[in-house]
Parts: sequence; C-alpha cells; structure tokens
Amino acid sequence: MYGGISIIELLAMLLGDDTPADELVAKTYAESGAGGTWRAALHDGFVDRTQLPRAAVQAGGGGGAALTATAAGGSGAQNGNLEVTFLPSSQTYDGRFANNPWLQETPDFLTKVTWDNVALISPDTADALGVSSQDVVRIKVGDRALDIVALVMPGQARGSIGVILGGGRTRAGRVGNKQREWVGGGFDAYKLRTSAGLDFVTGATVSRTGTRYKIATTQEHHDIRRGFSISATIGDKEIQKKLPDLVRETDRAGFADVAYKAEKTHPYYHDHEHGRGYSLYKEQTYDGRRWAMAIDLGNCMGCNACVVACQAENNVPVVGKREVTRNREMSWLRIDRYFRGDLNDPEVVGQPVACQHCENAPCETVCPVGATLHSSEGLNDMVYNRCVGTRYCLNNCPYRVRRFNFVDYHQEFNDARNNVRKLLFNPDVTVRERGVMEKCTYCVQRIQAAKIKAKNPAPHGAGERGPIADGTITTACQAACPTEAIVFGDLSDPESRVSKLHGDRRQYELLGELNDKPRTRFLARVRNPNPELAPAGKPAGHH
Amino acid sequence: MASPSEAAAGSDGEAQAVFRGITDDVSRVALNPTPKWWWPAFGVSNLMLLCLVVSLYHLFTTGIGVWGNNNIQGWAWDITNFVFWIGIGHAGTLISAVLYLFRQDWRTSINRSAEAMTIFAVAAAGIFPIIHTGRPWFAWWMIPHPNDMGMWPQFRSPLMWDVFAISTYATTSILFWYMGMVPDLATLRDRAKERWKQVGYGLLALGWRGSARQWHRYERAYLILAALSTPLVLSVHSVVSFDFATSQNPGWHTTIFPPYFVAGAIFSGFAMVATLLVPLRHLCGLKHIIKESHIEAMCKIMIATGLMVGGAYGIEIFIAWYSGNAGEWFTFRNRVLGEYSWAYFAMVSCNVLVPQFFWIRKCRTNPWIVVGLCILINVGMWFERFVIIATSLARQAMPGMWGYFSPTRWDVLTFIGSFGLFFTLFLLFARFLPVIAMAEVKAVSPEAHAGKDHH
Amino acid sequence: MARFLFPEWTQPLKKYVITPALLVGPVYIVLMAALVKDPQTLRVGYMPEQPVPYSHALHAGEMGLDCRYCHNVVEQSAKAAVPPAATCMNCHQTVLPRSEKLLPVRQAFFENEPLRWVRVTDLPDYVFFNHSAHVTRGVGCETCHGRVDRMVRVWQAQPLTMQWCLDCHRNPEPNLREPANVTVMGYQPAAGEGAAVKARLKINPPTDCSTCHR
Repeated sequence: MYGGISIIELLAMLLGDDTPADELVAKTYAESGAGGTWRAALHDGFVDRTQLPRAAVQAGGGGGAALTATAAGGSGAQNGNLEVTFLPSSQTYDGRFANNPWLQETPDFLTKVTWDNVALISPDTADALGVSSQDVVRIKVGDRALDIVALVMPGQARGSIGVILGGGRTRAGRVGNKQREWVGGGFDAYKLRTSAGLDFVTGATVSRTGTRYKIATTQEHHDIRRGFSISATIGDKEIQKKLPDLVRETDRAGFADVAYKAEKTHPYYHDHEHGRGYSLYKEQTYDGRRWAMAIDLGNCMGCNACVVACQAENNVPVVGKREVTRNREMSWLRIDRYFRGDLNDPEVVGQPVACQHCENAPCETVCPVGATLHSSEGLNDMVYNRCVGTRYCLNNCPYRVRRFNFVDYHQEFNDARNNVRKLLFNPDVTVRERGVMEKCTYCVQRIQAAKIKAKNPAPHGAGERGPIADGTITTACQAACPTEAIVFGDLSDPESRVSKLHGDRRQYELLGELNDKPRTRFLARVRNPNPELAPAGKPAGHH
Repeated sequence: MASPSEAAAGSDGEAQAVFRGITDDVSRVALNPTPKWWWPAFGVSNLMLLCLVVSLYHLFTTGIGVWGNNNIQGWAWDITNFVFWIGIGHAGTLISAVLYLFRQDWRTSINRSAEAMTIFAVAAAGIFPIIHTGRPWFAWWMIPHPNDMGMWPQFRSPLMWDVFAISTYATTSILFWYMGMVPDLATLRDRAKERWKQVGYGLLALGWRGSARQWHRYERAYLILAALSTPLVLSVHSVVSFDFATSQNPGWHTTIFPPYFVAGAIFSGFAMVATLLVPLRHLCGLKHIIKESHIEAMCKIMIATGLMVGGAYGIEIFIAWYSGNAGEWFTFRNRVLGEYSWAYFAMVSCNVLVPQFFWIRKCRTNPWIVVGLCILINVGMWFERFVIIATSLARQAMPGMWGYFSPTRWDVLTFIGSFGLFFTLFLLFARFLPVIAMAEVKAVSPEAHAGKDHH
Repeated sequence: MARFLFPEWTQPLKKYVITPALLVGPVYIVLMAALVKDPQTLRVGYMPEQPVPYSHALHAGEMGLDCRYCHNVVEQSAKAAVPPAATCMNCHQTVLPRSEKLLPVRQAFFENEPLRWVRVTDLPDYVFFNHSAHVTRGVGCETCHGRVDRMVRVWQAQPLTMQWCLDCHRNPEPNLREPANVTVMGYQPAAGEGAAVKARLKINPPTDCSTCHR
C-alpha cells in the first residue's frame, strides 16, 4: 500500500532474486513437502496433519511448601531496599507492539490502564511511601533512575514495585511514540533494566517528584481521582456489597449441593406465581428463532481476546487517551474487574459485559425516534442511521453498555479512497457517524449472512428455511475466546448448546431484579482454590 | 371587571390623573430616549450571547464531545440547563393564569414582565433539547410527519412528550403574552412621537381602538387563555420530570418527581422574576406600580415553595431507605456522602436554608438582600438539577462503569451563552415594549373602583 | 399626525390575502417541501454518463443476453457484481474488435485496470441489500431495476426508499414469481403464482431493523 517491501523480499533481493514475496512463500511451502498448495493452506488456515502429538501429562503429587502470608503478601521491605520487577505489558509486550492503537487502548487485564505503562505499588507500600495513584515517582536503583507514574494496585506484593515495560518509545511510529501527557505513550522503563537484573532488581529507592500524570483507565476513574467526599469509601463498600450478586461464585462444596442454583428469586418480583415482575408494556412473544448468549464465568480468565475481536469485527473506533480519561472508550465489550477482600491481598473477579439484549429493554422505550427496537428474533437492534443522539438510551441502560460517538472518531478515514480505510473496515458493518449511539449487536451481520446463506439454493445453501445448525453462527467474541467461555446460539432449539447452558443450574441473569429479561446469561464461577495456597488466616473456599 | 377606558370615562378627575400617571410612567420606559444604564447592560448580555454563538458553532462542527458528557453520564450540563430554564419559565404562566383566575390583584404589576421572562426562559431552555442531540440536523424526526422511511416517532418515549409539552407551552405563553399586550401597544402607538414608532406599534396593536366590543372580546379571550394555560403550569414540568421519573435509574425513578419539579419550578421562577424586577423597578422608576408589597408577596411564595422543595428532599431520602431498594438507597447515600456531596449541600443550603431568611421582614423589603437571596436560590435550583442528573448517573448498577463528570470550558460557555440569550431578549423587551400591563393595573387600582360600580 | 390604524384599503387585503395566506400557506409550504424532498423527484430517472456507451437495450433487450451472463454472482452473493472487462472481451475479441467506442474496454482489459462504471442504483452505506436473498426467492430483476432491456443508458427506475422496500416486505406476493423466471423482462406472473411461490419457499420477509441496517 505504501510501496514498501517485506523482509523476505529484501533478503531475496540481496541474494539477487527479485521474485515477489507471495511467490517466494508459495515456493518455500511447496518445497516444505507439507502437501497441497500454499493457497489451499492459506484458505483453510491450517495445514492438515501437522498437529503435535498429544502429550500425556499427569499431575505430580506433593508440590512445594505452602506459602506463608508473608511470602504471598510480599517482603514488606522499606524504602531504599525495595524490589523492582520488570513486567511485560499486556498491550505492547516489551514495546514491540507500541504502534498498534487497538492494543494500546485495550485495557490491561488487572490495572485497566490504557495508553501508558505504569509502576505498580501495593496499597500498603504506597501509604508508607506517601505515594498515590497518578503521582510521578522517581525510582532509583544504584546510579540509574526512572521517572514513571505510579498506580496503586491492589494485590501487588508489598515492598515490590512492578514496572511495566514497553512505553516511552521514540521511534515506534505515529501512535507508539512517547507523546504529551494527553496522548500517552508511557515511560521508558528500560532505563532501570540492565543485564544484571533482567527480571528484577533490589535496593530501589522511590520518591515523589511532585508532578502528577493523568492515567487513562477504563474502570475506577473515581479511585485515581482525588476528590472531595464526606465518605471516601462509600463506593468501595457498595461494590463489596454488590459483588456477590453481580459476579456469582460458589466453591466446590457449594456446587456439590444438588439444590445449588445461582439464580435467585428477587424480593421485588410481584408475580410470585411465575417468579417474574410485571412489565408496563405488553411483552413481545417469539415464535421463531431466539438468539441468546451464555457466558461461563468459570471459563473466563479475562484475557481481552474477545474485546479486540469485537473491535476488529465491528469497526469500533480507537478514541485515544484523552477520550478514555473522559470515560468515552468505545469498546462494545468490556471486562469488569473487581477486587474482593483485603486490598493488599485481594481476590480478583472478572466479568465480560456487553449488551445483554434484554427482552424488556429499558433503552427501547425511551428513544424518541425508535432508533433502537426489538427484532422478531429477540435482538435489540440499534439503527445507527435513525439515531438522533439524545443519549437517553445510554442513561437508561442499567448495564451501561451503550457507546456514543461524541466526536467523529473515524474522521481520518472519511475519504472513501483512503487505502487504510479499505483494509481497516469490515464492509458488512456500518461505520458510525458522529452523534449516533452504538452497542453490541450479537454480530447481527453474521446472523443475517448465515440466515440468507442457509436459505439460498444448493450448492451454496440448504434451499429452504430450516434450522440453522447450532454452531454455524459464532460471534466475533465467541470465535476469539480461547476457553470457549462464550456460547452463542438459538434458544428455540432445545438441543443447542446455549439452550442447555441457559438451563444450567449455574446460570443467572445479571441485574435480574430489574425484570429486563436479558438474553445473555452468565454461568456462576465455581472456585476450587488449593488449600495449601490459601493465605494464612483465611480458610480455603471461604467467601 | 371594569375596563380602564370605561373607568376613565366614568370617574372623576382625580382618578383620571392617576391613570394618566400610570400610563406616563410605563410609556416613558418604552418611548423616551434610551437610558444610560441600558447600553452597558445590553452590551454585556450581547457578549454573553456571543459565547452562545461561538460555542454552538464549535458544538455543531465538532460534536457533543466538546462538552464533558460521557458514556456514563450521557446527560450532564446540557439537560441540567434545560430543566433549569424550563423551571424558571414557570412563574410567568403561574402569575398570569393561576393568579388571574384566583383574582390576585397584586399580580397585575408583575405579570407582563413575568410572562416575558417565561417566554425568554423557554427560548433559552428550548435550544437545549435540540443542541444536546448528537445529530441536531435530524431533530425534526421527533415531529410526527409522513416520510419516505415509513417511520413515526416513538410515543412511548418521555422525550416525545417533552416535545409536545414544551411546544404547547411556548405557543400558549407567547399568545397569552402578546394578546395581553395589545391594548398597551395601542397606548404606546398613540403616545409615540416618531412616525416609525407609530407605525411599528400600530402594526403590533392590530388596529386596537379600545371600543367596548373590543374590550369585551379581549376580556373573554384573556379568560379563555388563562383557563387554558392553567393546566400547563402543572403539566409542563410534570412532563419534564417524566424524563427522569419513567426511567429505571435509581435516583431518577421516583414518583414524587412531578409535584416536586413543579414546586421547584415555581420556586425558581419567582426567584428569577424578583431578580429581574427589583432592579428594574428602581432603574425605570416604577416603584409606585411594582410596590414593595408585591415583592413581599413573591418572597412569601418562595418561602412556601422552598419548604415544599425541602420537604421533597426529605421524602426522597426517606423513601429511598423505606423502599428497601438497595440501589435506590445507595444512590441517595452516595448523593449525600459521596463525591458529589459538595453539590448536594450547595443545593440544600441554597434551596432550603436561604429562603428561610424571608421570614424576616427586613429581608423581604431590602432590595439588595432580596436580589442576593434570589440569586442564591437560582444557583441552588441549578444545582438541584445537576445533583439529580449527574450524581444519579455517576454510580449506577454496574460499578464497572462508574465515573465522575468534569465540565469543559464549552459547557461553561454554553451555559453563559444561554444567559446571554435570556438577558438580551429581556433587555430588548424592557426597552421597547410595555413592561407593565397598564390596562390591568388601572383596572385593579383603587381609583377604578372609586366611582360608580362598573361590574 | 393621526394615530396609526390599519387604513381602509387594507381591509380587502385582510380578507383576500392575509387570511387565505395564513390558512393555505403552511399547507402549501409542507406540500412543496414534501414534493421537493420526495425521492420520486430527487432520484428516479438518475441517468449518469458511463465510460463506455454500453446499451442494455441492445444486449439484454434485442440480443436477449441473460442478466446473469454479466452479473454472474447475483444468485450467490450480496452484490450483483459489475463485470470485469474480461467479460466484455469474451465477445468483443471477435465482435467489433476495433470499435472506437470500445477503446476503454480494451484498455482496461490489457492494462489490467478496472473499468470505472458509474453506479446508478446506489443505496446508502447503512443499508445492506442482499441480491441473492431476493433473486433466489423469486423477486424479478425488473421489480427494482425496471425494464433494463429498454434502457439504452441505465437509469434508476424505482425510488428505493425505505417505505418502498417495506411495502414489498409486508406484502411480497405481487412481486414474486417462479425463481426460474427472475431475469425475464416484462414478465406477467400467472394468477396465484406469487402466493404459490411464497408458500412453497416459505417466504416471510422480515421487517426487523437489523434486516437491512447492521
């Protein structure tokens, strides 16, 4: 596109061979003797019969000695003797992907920080050092020093500073370069890293520099903001109270009880006979397909693959650091991460949240122009081109999954002849203009394509309207999920995987007390912690 | 009720002199050369209006993103300003219609300017529902009309109800205001010296001659319009409150909102009327028409409505606890104790504590104190809407999407600009139109009843 | 100077000009706005100049080429496909190989560059129309594109508005025919043919928003 040449072309040229790269690859492939042609392998996405042999593994008995609370909680070393560990970034790895805005804006699994790399300090250590989040601190190890922004991170080992690598690059490209505070780019953590201590160094001194640096996080904007409030902990207390309801969990003993059900009857339900609330409006009935999703929290490990997949599939814009600090990140799918218990040694619970496609959707009744309506198959359709942008739907969504185009985030690609645009966008999904609302659609473009194809005559389709085999349609997040935590399908087919999961005793509705009847159901997580790893003073499986 | 012309014709010379005095004083404001204070005031409000023009240009060319609104708080200052202005726009109709029907004679000195203020406040409010949309050039989709999409607006949406409530209110208020002004415009026409003023006021006066038949029809029409506007006083802010009350958000979903909003609207409306009229009666020399007792009456209404609003604050919190709804209870605790407690206490002190000063007579009679307290009440009422909108949305059901709203400079400029629009229109009114309903004041002045009974 | 009242001569104006204007004016304005904005006014008849004066009337009409000879993927894909120059060259290697008018076609073919046809039937980017879903269910080409076999230069024959699409989605029968005959121009379906096709193919066109807007 930019008239560049690839590495293999360059190497071949140096050898006096100016064959184009694709031919070189095809030639190498043919010589490798893998069978078939390169094009066929490319089309299939894999080369048949090249999988590795299955390994036979057996869990070894015993294991190391139990970690004590002190060991698990860190050394608690004093300033001047702090440990610094170097951690790869979940976004840019060691910095090599710094020029990829999708990754820069994908929130880190635990810190939820975007666009920067930070130094993680445990709450206790931060108190001892007098450091709070967004303070720029100077970390000194020997004669080397690094100025980096601090983030107080629950669960970080006491007395240990976790410095994330990958920021502060100067020649990464337009996106990845270190830039002004509002644009991000991070700090060059390699200043501290020498061959003497590639993974960690000790004897570090941390001091505040007195300057502040804005960190863009997608969660807990309130925690890192210094504000006036009478009760600073009112929010945290509420979160702890809500957590068992939002992210339901049980342990092995709880799950072994055959009466265990994650779904609860809610005190606000009036219609006790059916265990449901009444709706003000006549509820829609469905006689055909009913699309639904199930998310198994037991499988979800919060890896963000779904988040990036969704962004790629649905033309979700990258908005940049300044917009993230204003809570305007556009990602349709977010992974909420909560800390439970003692902030110095918390348990982490995560939960992917996208549009729940409520059957009684609160967003639908409030739109003055009918830009978001229910489909006959139970999808909560969002019609971008009808939206005038009152944002009432956003306000009325209890799950807060709607995303508004506050400015023209695709401005750079408005010209139809832009070559990046041709490659960047999924042609089956509308590119949204400024001033319209958007949200997860259950990848409706994939659903429609599958429906049309199923009905088209042979050889391209079945030729008549029939059931779409379970598993034919995968949403982008589902396809990307490495643990198959996300399952999508048709509820009208009792044999579909999603139907079975919706009937599972671990299933529950998020905020079910609102009687929104979400089509996405969660499956409660069953925890089974190793008692030998359990921190002292906290019995295993206690919640 | 006796019409002034009849009264004038039938009364003795003394009464005639009083009537002429009223006419002189009020007409002088519109017909004399521009007073000195007017130009600086007009200049400042024009500068503020310029802020609106500039910020709207930036808004329309860039998007809602110029404000601080975000994916957690879809509404913030935009709707706060809207509800604030609509609330202020309540006093006019209340004074004109409801007090008219209850035969509260003291209303006549303030009703004209209160109505004018209503219309200008509704104008300032009316821009927000349009400009707060992401694509204002499609705002006309909210008006039902046959179209090539086969689409109609959705009548389940409270925003649709708003469209009708506000447009009806604006239309009725303008009609009421203008119709009431016709006899006075004719007076100005007759007293104007320059030809262009004679023609201008003449056109606006619609050929009013003051004949008995015209008076008769005028009074009829006025009564009908008053009766029509009375339910609007209650309905408009009730409908506006539905924007919040019919949502599912804790902090918004409250049945108390309609009466609470209406009381608050009248509260803020009177505060704004007093803020404008107390200086105006000094500057225009109308102290003997807008009497001290009138200002006092307004202060008393503010005590009453302020207590209602204060009661509503208390009931809200009580019900949040009593309902047993955990989300509701948290929202209110968070409102009082959380990050927005500063806004909450600004609201409570301005709206509940400040009006209590009006129990003291001196606070009702000293113009400086009255204006000061009324401005504080208006600040408080702005905060009330901000507290309802911003603090409720900041921490909803999903803690993963909790946030804090920070305004941008464009939020501030737009807000200042809306004041610019309001003040510019009001100053134009105060300069060129009869600020006091002369005919009505004469009708209720003691001299009108001194002669034989005209009823 | 006397006070200004409306002079005598304005009385007939009130009666014959102002009152009717107030009554009829708004209606007139609304009607004119609707008429001007109507796609029937704005779009139907749009007939752009093409790089090659290709005549559908000659090829599809007179010579009877099937639509699918050139628009070959219409039954399988969302797009009907504008043919590459190679398709033209199948015939025009031997037919009129030296024609002046066909110079751009030969140029495109030999230089491996696309011919830049001007799109006539163009829906907005937020509308996703799938040709295969319509053609294989028995919606004839001419239903949307008009009598292409009579168009020397192609023009837009239908308004293609949302209302127009919905009319058919709500009542498809009048526009359905045996799928074998979709490309036939001027086709007169037999009585009850639409209903029969609808029943046999279980045609139940959705009117959900996401049917077209994704």
